[in-house]
Amino acid sequence: MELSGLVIKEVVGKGSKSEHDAVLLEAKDGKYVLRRRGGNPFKDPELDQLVGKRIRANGVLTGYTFVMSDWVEADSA
Amino acid sequence: MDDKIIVTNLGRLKAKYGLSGAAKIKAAVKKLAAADKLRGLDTRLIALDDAAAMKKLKAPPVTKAADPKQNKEAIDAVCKKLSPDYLVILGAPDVIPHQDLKNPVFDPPEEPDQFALSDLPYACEAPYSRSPENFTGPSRVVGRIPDLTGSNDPSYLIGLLDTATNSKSLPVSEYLRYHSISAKVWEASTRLSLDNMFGSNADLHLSPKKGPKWATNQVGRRVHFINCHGAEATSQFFGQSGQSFPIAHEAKLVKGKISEGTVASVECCYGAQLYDSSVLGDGPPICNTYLEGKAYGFFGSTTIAYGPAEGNGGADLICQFFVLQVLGGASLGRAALEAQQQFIASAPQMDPTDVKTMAQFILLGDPSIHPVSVVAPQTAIAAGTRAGKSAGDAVDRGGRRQQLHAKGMWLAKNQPVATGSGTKKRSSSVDASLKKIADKVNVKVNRTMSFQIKRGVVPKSKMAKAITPTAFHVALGVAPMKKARTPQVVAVVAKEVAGKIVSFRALHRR
Repeated sequence: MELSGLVIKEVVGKGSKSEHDAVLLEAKDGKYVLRRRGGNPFKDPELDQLVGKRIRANGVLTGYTFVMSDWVEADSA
Repeated sequence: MDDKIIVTNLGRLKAKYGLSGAAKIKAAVKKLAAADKLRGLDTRLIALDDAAAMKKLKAPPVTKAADPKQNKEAIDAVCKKLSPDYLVILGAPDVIPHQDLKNPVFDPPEEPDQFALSDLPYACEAPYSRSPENFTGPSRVVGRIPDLTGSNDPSYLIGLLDTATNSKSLPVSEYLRYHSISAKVWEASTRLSLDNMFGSNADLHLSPKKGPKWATNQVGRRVHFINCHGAEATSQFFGQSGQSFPIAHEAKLVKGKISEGTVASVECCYGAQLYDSSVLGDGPPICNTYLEGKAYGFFGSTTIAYGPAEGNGGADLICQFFVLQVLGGASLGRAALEAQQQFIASAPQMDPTDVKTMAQFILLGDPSIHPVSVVAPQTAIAAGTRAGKSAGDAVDRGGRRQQLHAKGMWLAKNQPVATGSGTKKRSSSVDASLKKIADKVNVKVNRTMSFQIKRGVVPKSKMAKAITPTAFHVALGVAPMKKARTPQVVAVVAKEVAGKIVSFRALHRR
């Protein structure tokens, strides 16, 4: 599936055993935790570089996590 | 008499594996039933979607496989009719769904689990509900033998059934050497857990820097106790030191390395999440991989789990209660049930994070397996015969089930527990107290949820109103990131008595 939106950073899982600063995709219908396929869900420098940018991404939505296989920045799309 | 009931949805198995695949699974169940017979257990397979079979049991059939309510009502009716000592759920959630209990601390995106997906209601006599606080009285011994979610190859599930068929109890000495991995930031908590279970924490491995490639003589030990980070739909667990989150353990490095009979107790978030890995191209979930490697049981969480940074609480407790029961010779299912009951009873009042913990931990594996062999305290008449031994075992098991049922009923009726949707009104003085606590523990609060406390009837002589808690408040907030190596407080659970905050529990970044 394809999702597009603004990449942001927020804390998820507060107070829990998985609490961390996560990269999220703020899409039209909600916020999704963003992960690269095969990427570290807690710290992924490549995802960090997308924060603040608009992207269009292909991937799989599993629960509230969007695991993306490829993406383009919206400006260059 | 049926000692062990295996429930499944045959229509879903046929849809996933075809007629031929479903027939192979049924044949594997038959082999398990034959092996159980030799162990003194009468085992029966019941298809919840078989209208004729369910009618004979006066049970409503499941017509919508994915409907949690239908599945709960069907299983309740089967259990009412047959009172099995063991209930096995055969299949992943796309065969028989988890119950969709509402997560009391749901607050997206910070706490993104809308549901605390659970098998706990299947262990309870309380009727279907989405309110987890209605399930504080588990009394049934339940475990799930899962297939792979989204799979079309029956060989995985047949392999798990073969593991159960061939299972053997071993001396406790085989389970006293453990393999334990902890995120470095949770070292103190994990060492305490290991001391409580094994009287020693010498074999703890910390990530970083250890892992994920474990030596065979480490990962080959039969008890695994893991306290690491986990994430939704990933087959890896992660350590932590500061802002470093290295891989500590991963499914592809477990495969073929663990010993038959391994029992894993896993605190990690999503450790027992049975997600559909076929669409991710990442290999099966780590819990599935353990079971494929002939682990007997995997006790873990379907969703985000909680625990303090220092001391033990939440996931730490329920996971160690489970291991202690296994080491004492309990079946895996009884170990899970007793861990749930002990966890529920251990809190004077269950706060909302306790409620989520209670709901989210599930047992994967055949609940009737006894990993540790124990010498029976009584000698059965005709002990030298299989029938004599079985009769003695059945008498003891029946007595234990009666005790567990009575305890479950007592907990359901009396255990004080946080209830509501978090919208209970607060006084301005409580708000002021919460702000002071947040300042003290350095949390910038984004949102506070407040819950009333449901309790049973307390004798007047025991009811000192002045010290009876009246509410819980959960403040979720952001702790400023520092260079400090110690975890940062990010959530506060406060207890209110008669309009005043009397204590709080700080949940640390872990």
